[in-house]
Amino acid sequence: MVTRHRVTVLYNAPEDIGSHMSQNDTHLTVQGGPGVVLQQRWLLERTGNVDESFKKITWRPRADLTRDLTVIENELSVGFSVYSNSTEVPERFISNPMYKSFHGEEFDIKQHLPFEINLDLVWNPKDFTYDITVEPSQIQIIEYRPLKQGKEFTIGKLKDEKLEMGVFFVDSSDENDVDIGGIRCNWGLDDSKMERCQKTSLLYKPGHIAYNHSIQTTSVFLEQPIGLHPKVKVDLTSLEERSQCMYLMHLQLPLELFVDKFQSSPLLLFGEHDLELPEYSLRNQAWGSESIFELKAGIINEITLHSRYIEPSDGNEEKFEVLFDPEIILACDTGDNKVSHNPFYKKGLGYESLFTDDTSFRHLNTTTLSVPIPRPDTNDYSKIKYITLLCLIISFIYLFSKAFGKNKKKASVKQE
Amino acid sequence: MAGRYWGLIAVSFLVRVGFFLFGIYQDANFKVRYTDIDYFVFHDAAKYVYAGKSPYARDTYRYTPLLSWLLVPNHYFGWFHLGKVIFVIFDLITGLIIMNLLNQTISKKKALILGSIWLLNPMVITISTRGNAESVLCCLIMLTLYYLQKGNYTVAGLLYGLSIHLKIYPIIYCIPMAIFIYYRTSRQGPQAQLTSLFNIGLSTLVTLLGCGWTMYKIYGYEFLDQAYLYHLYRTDHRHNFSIWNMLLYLDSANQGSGGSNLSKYAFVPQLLLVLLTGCLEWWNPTFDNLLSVLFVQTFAFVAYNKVCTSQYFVWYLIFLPFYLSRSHIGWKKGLLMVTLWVVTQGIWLSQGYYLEFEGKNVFYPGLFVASALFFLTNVWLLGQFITDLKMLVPPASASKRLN
Repeated sequence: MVTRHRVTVLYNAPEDIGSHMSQNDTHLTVQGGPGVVLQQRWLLERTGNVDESFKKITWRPRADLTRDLTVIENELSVGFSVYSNSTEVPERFISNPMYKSFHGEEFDIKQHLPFEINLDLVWNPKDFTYDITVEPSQIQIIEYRPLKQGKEFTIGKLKDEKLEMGVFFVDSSDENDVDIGGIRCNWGLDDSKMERCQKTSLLYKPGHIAYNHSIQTTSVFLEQPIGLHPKVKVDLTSLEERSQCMYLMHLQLPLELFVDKFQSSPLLLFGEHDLELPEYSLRNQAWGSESIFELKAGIINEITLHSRYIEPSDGNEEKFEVLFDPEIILACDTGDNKVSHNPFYKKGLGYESLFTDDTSFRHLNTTTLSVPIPRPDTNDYSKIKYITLLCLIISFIYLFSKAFGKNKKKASVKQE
Repeated sequence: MAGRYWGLIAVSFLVRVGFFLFGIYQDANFKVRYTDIDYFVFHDAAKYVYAGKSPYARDTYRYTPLLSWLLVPNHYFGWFHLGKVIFVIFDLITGLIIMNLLNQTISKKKALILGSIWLLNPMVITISTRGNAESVLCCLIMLTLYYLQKGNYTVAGLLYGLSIHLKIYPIIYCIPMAIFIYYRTSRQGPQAQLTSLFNIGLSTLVTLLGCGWTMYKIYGYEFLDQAYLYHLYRTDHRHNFSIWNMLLYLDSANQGSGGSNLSKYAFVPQLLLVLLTGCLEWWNPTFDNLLSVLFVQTFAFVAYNKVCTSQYFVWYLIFLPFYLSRSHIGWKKGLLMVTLWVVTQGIWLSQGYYLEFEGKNVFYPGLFVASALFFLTNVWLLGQFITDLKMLVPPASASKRLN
């Protein structure tokens, strides 16, 4: 079985290409630099598969939030996510009409990738981002890594692999169009030697537009002090309403936090929304909840969340830090379905599938927020138990003696 | 009666109208709503009923469907606040019955002060005008007692059965009520005693089982589960005044791995004390004493309950005017009792505030010790009430009974 392997490197300027690239007969080496990103894509054919469902698995390390994304990337949610349109709902998954989803902090790829896949891929969840699509006839694995200054990456063809490489720079890009140019190289199928490279340019409409961190105009924070009902504040005062567009907040909340749909009226809310039960009573039912809120431009938006009671600690930290990453998005109708795919990524399951194909997503801000949830300590358990018991015993002795004992004051009453 | 106290009743009515209108204004103009969260639950549940669906389609609706039926007019007339008017009416009727049942021998001034404990109590007024349904149950219980006093056991029973259908706890009143009826009818011979008891018991069962059966037929197991069973099996409540709260939290999080079962038996001391206080009616089986006994019994029930929030205080507040009308507790001690009750509650509330709004970890010792202090205060108050009730025995009958 031949795996199709494609490597793309994106530089900022055309002169970077010549100065950062070297090659010999069989290998090509690229040098890193500020803002340089490298994408690898593997396409694997599936045969004998009877499963007709689609699945999307994504991973993005939290540290990646500080990096400015490039035009060949789609902004993925932080953490590990699995979306599936299969009819069965795996344990702890939540459902909505479009997909079943799982979201968590741990990179649990082995659990969710079809077992037939035997790929010599070294997973690096600490530094790399993954965007994986499992379709009935093929599996596509996309890996992104920043190629930092002083780092280099060398590629040569492996056995049973069809290799292609593109080295690009951004010619021009705005919110509607991206134009990148550069060269594209192929390797011979039989001799593993590099063939002649060709000049190439690509023009496409991006479905995801990353806002540069430096010109960021929104801020997302929690109102202080943070109690059991954390208030997320989203400052959109410097923004204006745009026609055909909606300001949104996309939330994937772990079980410890929840949205009260009766109080804060989300646009959409899926998953665990029980208003009362503690985290430990719901743990086997769902990973949490996914919700989308509509925000208003020109004001500071406020969304109140609630925390659940959590398991007592065992003598360690007295508060449990729960992290979540609200994504502030400007979703716009473009009237053009071309935004749904481009040579580097395509829209798939996940919140994107809740919008029409012609929707583009501008990512205004994603900030990690941390809610410390207080919890009792099991080391106090016996103290609490015995004090409770003591109070009860004292109360019984006292009240029964009052009820059955003699009334000391009765005499004085009689005299009245 | 209404003639004598028309001034108080008119003021009570006007104050409620004022609170009600202010509530509408606050809801429309302020970020913090006046309307109670539970009212939204009732209102939403009534919407489902209006649409021919089950009120249990609304999350956290955990009451009898009757309450949601009561608010169907909200949707029929399309006025969100209508249900509050209904609750205020129940609240006012409760006040009227309290005025009526107050012993007629007390002075007018005293009756006005005691009646004001309910009629002009800001807590009572806010509860009903914010849209909490507590006044419906209070009214039913008061009506039960009204007919009980009149000697109309059938009507009293029907109303009593309905009260228990609404919330299970009034079932504890069956002990002192039975004792009262048994002694009141004793002069008419054992035949009449049994007939009266049978009469009220049967009519209680008619509404209790009748309503239960009807609701079960319409809404199925969900009714039983949400309206009744849920309150029994639920152990993982969020923080509240109850002494049991911390133990319940730790035990519910620790299921199956070596925790104690102490919290599972929370109902045992409660049951024992409710029995004990209920039997105080034996001491002095008059109607006036019954009202005082109900106060003490409810106070004990709430103090030992595994969940306790401030709305539970209303459960015994309806009997407070009667209790005070006969109490021998002096004003100095009374003041001390009230102060302790308020202060220990205040300590708890301060801890609750640190936890709820500042996220401080005050579970232990802060919140727990505060619960324990409040509990011990309640126990001490209970002790004073019991002593006081025993003092109320006419010396002649007391010596007779002691022999």
